[in-house]
Amino acid sequence: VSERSRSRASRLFRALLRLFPTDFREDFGSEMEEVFHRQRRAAGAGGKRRQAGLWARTLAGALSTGLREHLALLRHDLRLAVRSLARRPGFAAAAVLTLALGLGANTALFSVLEAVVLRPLPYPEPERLVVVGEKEADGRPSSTSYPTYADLAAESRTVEAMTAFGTSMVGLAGEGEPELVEGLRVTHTFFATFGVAPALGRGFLPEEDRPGAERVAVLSHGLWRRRFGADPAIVGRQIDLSGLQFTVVGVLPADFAPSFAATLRGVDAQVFLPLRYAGTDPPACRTCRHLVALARIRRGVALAEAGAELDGLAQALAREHPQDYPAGGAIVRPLQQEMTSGPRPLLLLWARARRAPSSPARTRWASGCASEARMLRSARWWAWWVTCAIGAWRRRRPSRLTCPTPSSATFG
Amino acid sequence: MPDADADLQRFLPLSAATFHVLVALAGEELHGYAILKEVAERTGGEVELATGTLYGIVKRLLEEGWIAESRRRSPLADPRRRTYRLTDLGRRVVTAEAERLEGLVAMARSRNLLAAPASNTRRPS
Repeated sequence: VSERSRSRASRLFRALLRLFPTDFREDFGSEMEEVFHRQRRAAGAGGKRRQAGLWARTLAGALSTGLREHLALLRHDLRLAVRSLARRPGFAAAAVLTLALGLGANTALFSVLEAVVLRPLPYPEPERLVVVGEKEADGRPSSTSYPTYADLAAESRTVEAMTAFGTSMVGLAGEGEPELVEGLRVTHTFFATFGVAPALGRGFLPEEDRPGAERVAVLSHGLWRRRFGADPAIVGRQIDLSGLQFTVVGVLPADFAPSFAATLRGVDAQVFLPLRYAGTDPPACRTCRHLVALARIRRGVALAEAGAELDGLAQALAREHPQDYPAGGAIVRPLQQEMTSGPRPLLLLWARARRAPSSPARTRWASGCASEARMLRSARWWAWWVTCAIGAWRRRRPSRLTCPTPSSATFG
Repeated sequence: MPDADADLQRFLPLSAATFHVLVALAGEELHGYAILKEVAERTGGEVELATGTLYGIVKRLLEEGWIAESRRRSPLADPRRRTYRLTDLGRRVVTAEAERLEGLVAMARSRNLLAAPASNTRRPS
């Protein structure tokens, strides 16, 4: 039993030794273990209380001395690094400048990568939002016509909600200076597709999205605050847009950012109006591809499945109206990917280049510093031999070769 | 050696644990466990050093050159066991610290904070 207990205590004590730096452990570890076992034997006569006291004292000693030794090691290496840098101020300045530029550039690029590629879109379950484009003759996606949108929305079983929108520029008159305001003309399903509920009032009703219906508008939060002083009684008020009277029926929440409109159509949307199309309207012809169609696919439906279904439906439309569709078919892409399609490949390439163990950029950088490193190496070996000769602490010698030097910091 | 004494002052004051370890080694060469025992006995069990604390001190004292590893080694002893001895520098440092403490005690005594020393008081060897 005592042998088993000794072995268990040994294991525990060796685990405690890991609190010390490796050099320290190699120099004193076995000696400390021998001393500890003698302490245990001596404490054994004093009973469990004395044994517990010994373990508590040993743990506290290991924690405090281990920490102190690690800090001493760090101080030593830092002092050495500063001395090395001070000996070659020119190289030190170049290394520090290179590090500063590298860190700055990395931070700036990561901020862009995070904002553009990694951060999810600010809508509920954004991964379910897709852009639906008609297939061009060359296989690329194009915009969508109103009848195509309406047919796909009516036929699809994989889509929960679908909307189409075009851009609009209206003159806002009335209180204050008249101004041109960018906006979107949207189908009444627009807000439901994005999963957004207005902060004040409501979205559009189906009957408001028909030709000749009463003119209504939904304001962005920014326009409501800037132009109407955040008037809480704005809903129901008449506003003048391009000489026509519109009734405000809602105000969007502050966190609804229609960034998709800026990215896909270059519009800073501040006012939303119903599309009010009917199949017979001239701009609603089957070849009038000027709308962006967005869909929210059903929960649990894979993107590929929704894409295949919508593509099949679009091909059926092309068979039905062969003169109106040059190729036939639909291309379905995630909204997030569509919004970052411009900078995304470049940013991802940069991110991969940083991870690559030996990218060409790194190789060029490394070779640029290699000559400096070679010059330093001879000086460093000389310092090492001098250190050996004067009998420096034997475990510290090798670490001088690995402690931060200008070259290693630059390559890091 | 006033200059040498002034040099020693920069090492002072010593921590209580360092002082105890140096005092323990002032009598004879000792291995780690013997140092622990000596310290505990001299302080009536009031100071019980942990192994980590002891070897942190031993490492620093070796680096400072106040103690050295003894070359004498018993053939029967555990090969892991090393014995340590006080160097001349170490002896001067611990003496300087003892004198500093003695000065403080004398100051307290002059203010009647302490009774006069008994004639048979045991002093560290």
